[in-house]
Order: sequence, then C-alpha cells, then structure tokens
Amino acid sequence: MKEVILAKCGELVLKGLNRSNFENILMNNIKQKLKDDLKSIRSAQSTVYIELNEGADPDLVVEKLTKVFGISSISRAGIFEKDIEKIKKGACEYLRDELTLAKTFKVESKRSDKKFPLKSPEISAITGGEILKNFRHLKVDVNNPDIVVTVEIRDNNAFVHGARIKGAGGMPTSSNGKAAVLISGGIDSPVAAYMMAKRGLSLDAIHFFSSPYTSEKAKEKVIELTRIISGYAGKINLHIVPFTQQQLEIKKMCKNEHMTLIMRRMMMQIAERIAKKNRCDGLITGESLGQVASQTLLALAVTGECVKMPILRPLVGMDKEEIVTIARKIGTFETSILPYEDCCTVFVPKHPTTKPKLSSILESESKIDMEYWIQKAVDETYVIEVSE
Amino acid sequence: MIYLDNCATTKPCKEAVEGALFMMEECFGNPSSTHQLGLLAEREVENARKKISDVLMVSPDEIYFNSGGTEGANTAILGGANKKAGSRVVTTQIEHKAVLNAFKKLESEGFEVIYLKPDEKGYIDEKTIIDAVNEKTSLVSIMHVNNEIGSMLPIDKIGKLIKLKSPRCIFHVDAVQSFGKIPVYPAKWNIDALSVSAHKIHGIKGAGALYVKKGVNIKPIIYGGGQERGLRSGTLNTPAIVAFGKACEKINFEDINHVRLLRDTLVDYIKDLDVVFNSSVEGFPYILNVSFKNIRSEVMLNALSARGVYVSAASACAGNKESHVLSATGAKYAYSAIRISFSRDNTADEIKEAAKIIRETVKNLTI
Repeated sequence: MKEVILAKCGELVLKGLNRSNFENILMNNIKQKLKDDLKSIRSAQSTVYIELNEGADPDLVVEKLTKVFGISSISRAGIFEKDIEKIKKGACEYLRDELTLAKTFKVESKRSDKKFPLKSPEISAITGGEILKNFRHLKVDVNNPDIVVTVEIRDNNAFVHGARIKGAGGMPTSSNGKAAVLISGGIDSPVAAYMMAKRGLSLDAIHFFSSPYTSEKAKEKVIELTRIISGYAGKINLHIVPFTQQQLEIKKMCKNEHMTLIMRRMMMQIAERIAKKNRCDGLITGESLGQVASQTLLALAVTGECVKMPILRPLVGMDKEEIVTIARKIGTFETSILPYEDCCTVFVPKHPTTKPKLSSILESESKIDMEYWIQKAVDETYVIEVSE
Repeated sequence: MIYLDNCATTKPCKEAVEGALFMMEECFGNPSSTHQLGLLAEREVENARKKISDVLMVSPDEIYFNSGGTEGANTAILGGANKKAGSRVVTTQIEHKAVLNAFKKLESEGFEVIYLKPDEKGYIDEKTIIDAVNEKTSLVSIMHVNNEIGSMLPIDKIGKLIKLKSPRCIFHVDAVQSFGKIPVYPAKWNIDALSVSAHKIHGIKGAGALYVKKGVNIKPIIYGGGQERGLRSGTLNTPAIVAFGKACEKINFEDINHVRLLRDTLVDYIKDLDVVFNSSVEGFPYILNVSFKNIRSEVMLNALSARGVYVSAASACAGNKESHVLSATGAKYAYSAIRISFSRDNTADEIKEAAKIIRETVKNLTI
C-alpha cells in the first residue's frame, strides 16, 4: 500500500504573497532533514505532501518532522484509488492498529474533486459502516471520538488518515535570516537559541572558552548542546573564542565590581564582529531580567550599549522554571546540568554591581586597550561545524 | 605525554595485551564449554588464577574472578553482611565509593554502620578500629591503601583481634591500590575477603578478583549459570583475565624503590612553591597528593592536561565534587588538591620535565 505524510503549514498560511517563498524554504528544510528517506515532496493548499522511499521508517520520519519549524501538524495517510470499495476496505486495513485500540470513532470526509460520484456524508456513511462491520467493539461517537478517520478525495487519489500529531509550530528555519547566539553551556542560552530558531532564524553560535579555567569537557558539552539545537535549527557553525587572556587582563586592570560587566561588553563586541563576518543580522542571548546581577535592566543597558546589532533576548520575561520546562522539552536540560560548570569563579567579583553607571564602567574600561583585545579574540577564533 | 594518573588506571603491559589478543583471536572458547576449545580457554583461566593466588600466597580455589574492584567490594559487603550474625558493621570515612555506597545500602536495610574518622594524614590506628568492633559486628571493611592520598591502614595487624571480639565477623580489605605494589598476604593476616583489580597493575579493564578464605560464607549478588563456584555467575572475561595473569607475572616488589625515588625527586623540585602536601612522605610512594594554594584543582588539571601532563583532582571517579577523603582528613586546601600517581614505567627524566611544567603552570596561574 502506498503511503504519504502530510505536513500542515502553520502560520505561513497568513503570509500572503510571501507564502510560496515560505513554503519553498519549508520544503527545503524538510529535504535536508529527511535526506535519503525522501522520494518526493510537493505542496498544495498549505499542506506539504511527503512521499518516502522504500525502506524508510515512517515512524522515524514523523519523529524527525516534529522538529521542523513551520509545521503545525503531521499525519500519515494511505493512498487509494478513487473507488469507494477500495477506500472503505483500505481504511480498515490501513488503520487496523488504531481502530483495534480505540473504543469510539467517527469518519470525516472531504471531497475537493467534485466529479467524484458520492457526496461527503455518503462517503463517511459507507466507510463508517465497513469499519463497524470489521471492528465489532467500536461505537460511533461524533462529539468526542478516540479516533477520527479522515477520507479526502483529491484530484488524483483518495487519502485516508488517522491521528494527527502536533508539529513544532513556528516558522521555517532561515525564513527570517540568520543570527548568532552566545552560548555558555548553561540552561538558558540553548533555550534562547531554540526559541529564535522557532521564529525562523538560522543560527551561528559563539562560545567563549577560558582554558584552563574551563575544561575540555565544558567545551564538549557546548558542542553537544549545539548539536541538540541543530536538530531543530539545521547546521550550526560554532565559533570558539579563546578568552582567557582577556579575562586575566580585565581582572588585573579593572575594578573588581565592574569585572563581569566589562567582560560582557567585550563579549558582545567580539560577538558582533564575528556575527558580521558571518552575515548574521542579530545577536541572541539567554539573558532573563533580574536573574543575576549582570542581568538587571541597568546592567543590560550597559552591556547592550556597545553594539549596534539588534540583541534578541527571548527569555527576558521568563521565570527560571519556565525556561527549565522548555529545556526539558527540547532535550538540552540533561546536558546543561552536567557538572562541568565553568569554574571561572576567579573571574566573578565578590560584590558585583547591580546598578551600574555607564560613565564609571567606561572609566574602568578605559584602563585596558579594548580594541586590541577584541580584535585579538576575533582573530584567534576557530569554527566547528555542528549538525545532527 | 607524561602519564601521572596511574591510580586511575595503568597502561597495560605488552604481555597483558598479547595474552588478551591470544584469547580473542585463537583461544576464544567459552571456558564453561566442554569441547576442546572450551577446555583450552579454561586452562588459560586456571593458569591466571594460579598466578594471582601466588602473588597473594593463597590457594587458587580461594580466588574468584569478577569485573574489578567495585564488584569485589560489593560482593564482599552486600553478600557478606548478615543480620543474624550481627547488625553492626564497621568501615572508614575514606573508603572508595564502591565500599561507601555499598555500606549506604546496608544502612538503608537497617544495619548500624560505623564510619571511622581518620587523622589529618588519613591514618586510623589499630586500637581505634578494634574498639569499634563488638560481639554484634558481622562485617568490617577497611582499605589497605587510600586511593586519593596514599595513607596505609594497619590491615595486617587487626584480623586476629577482630575475630577475638566477634568470631563470626567477616573482615574485608579493599586492596585495589596496594595489590602488586607492596606485599599483601590475606591468609597470614587473617583477612576473610580481599578485592583486587587488574587494570591498576598494568592489566586491562574489566577484570578483577575477590579472594574469599575457604569456609567463609559470602552470598552471591549475581545469579545465573553458576560460574566461579556459584559466587559470580556470568561468562568469564577471558581476555582480561588472562591479561591479569600476565600482569601478575610482571609484579616486582622492588619497583617501589624506583617509584620512591621518582616521588622524592618531584617533591624536591616543587617543595619551594606555595604548596601543601596532603599525603605523608613516609607513606605509599605511588601516590602524591598536593595542593597548590589558591589554584583550584580543576584549573590546575586543565592547564597541565593542555601541556600533556595527566594527573587527577582527588580520585578520577569523583569528578568535580569535593573529595570526601580530604573532608574527612580536614585538609585545608582540599579545593586545590591534585593527585599525582606514579608507575614503574615513569622515568626520572619524565618527572623532571613534569616538575618543570608544574612550576611554570603554577607561576602562570598565580593571579
């Protein structure tokens, strides 16, 4: 029996004249995701029709599709000739497992090919009758059935599908351009990356590495987190920025309580340069308002002041609990909490300032040659390509 | 590369690797099979058993092969503790986690567990141990050499006294660090059960042995086909076991003099730094535990690793957590403790090079 996977587009439907463009990006993303499993793909009426090669495991493919942004729901459908005898028998056979497990059902039919001799209610009645004959334990429930059997009569074929699976939602990755996420290895930044990928951004990632104050294992952890995110966002270039000397310089030259903010200002500027070089149009951080001293409104103002690119902070209004819930859902939490925390406690001031004044930070910062250290970091940065 | 993490594991010696290869490529039969290939494999296993029993000066039928130190300790403790014989059990605060967590399990089953506290050098004297034993004590487990700081406990002097106070008590010794490096004689010292591991003595990972004195009742914790006279079911890991036997042939108790010289050389080269020695210099020379003040263990470890010098922070298994051993000894600079552990393969030149790198690293990291 032939089978097709139907992916319903979500928000794209709203996008007017851009729609075909968005649909093309979505189909391209699906192609990349499914690789050799894919036989053919086309879109019609805001649905993407996916046919698989023989040997591909449809369950695995559906699982993969639940990670593709821009899809609101996914269902599998059997393809039949437009002959009511074949449709009704096919429905019983194709949905055997689901119908065996269900207690109640209903049939819904859609006839977009008006030349088909039966009307929708008739198609439903005939198919429903055949199901009742074959599965004697089942009852019809039109209000709250365990399973809805959908029969669609389209131009070329008839489709029968059962349960609908929720898709990842959002917009197709890269339909909104590219941004660079500052990723630390903690819980927040991978979630921020995921949320912006969901809104259609493709990603580069930037990690500041302070060997020997952070270990190789901490770096591996960041690579692993990036790999998990790439399951949603596609291939990610991870830029590793050696950052030890800069931190030592800041610690040596600047006021202790300003250390974190000056460090973050330097990071933002380094990130902006790397982002520009790689044709990104924005920066993404995992900052959440008030979570730590360097994330108060005044502190965010001071760190944001030194770059021109937009800084996207998708977690800014979220509680830690909400962030953790998403981290668990997308599978980054277990990796984020591995105990290779950056042990750069030497670089954390005892009493960080929570109400920084830009003028005093600038004065403290003037003790070091920012331009030299920023460019040095950019020059020493190396790239790791990360994909699923 | 300068490998100074020999308490975590050692490089397998050539003979061990060859022995394992032979068992995989040619003599691959199941030693429980009764055909010729099985018999050949069994013969090799029995040769290995004999070699291990020779090192311990015990009878081969008192040696039970298993997967290593953790399994040995778990079998002896969980299979040896017996509430009918007495609900009190005794161990120390500085045991390996394999022992401590087995005792935690006994605690959850209602045993009264005494954890003896060491002095600041990690030592516990005979009297303290014996005083903790009473007629209700059914199990005592004391390590021979501590894996983090190298303190040596008087397990050679307490076996008889334990039996005098509690005749049915089982006395287990974790000899994973000492076996093959200094003499260990369980029969002579009235030890009932003793765990050893192959990969700490240039064997390969995945094999170990539990010595159980004839007549001592330890119940299995794994059930199955009844291998190892029912104490440890499961197909024997013949390559690792044969490698274990080969590694035992290479044991030479004179090696300790070479290692002591290496340790003393290193101490000489670094003692003028801002350093505290957490292990006693009279102690076990294979382990040197030092703290470079104000440099966190993992930072030092990462920096040395980047330059090809491999050491560990506390024990390799403990990862980033604060060492329970150094908390027990009350070491003031536990946060910066580094364990440097030697083997007979290390050379004086390597140690001088390592010392040079350590000095430079300490200088770079002092901020």
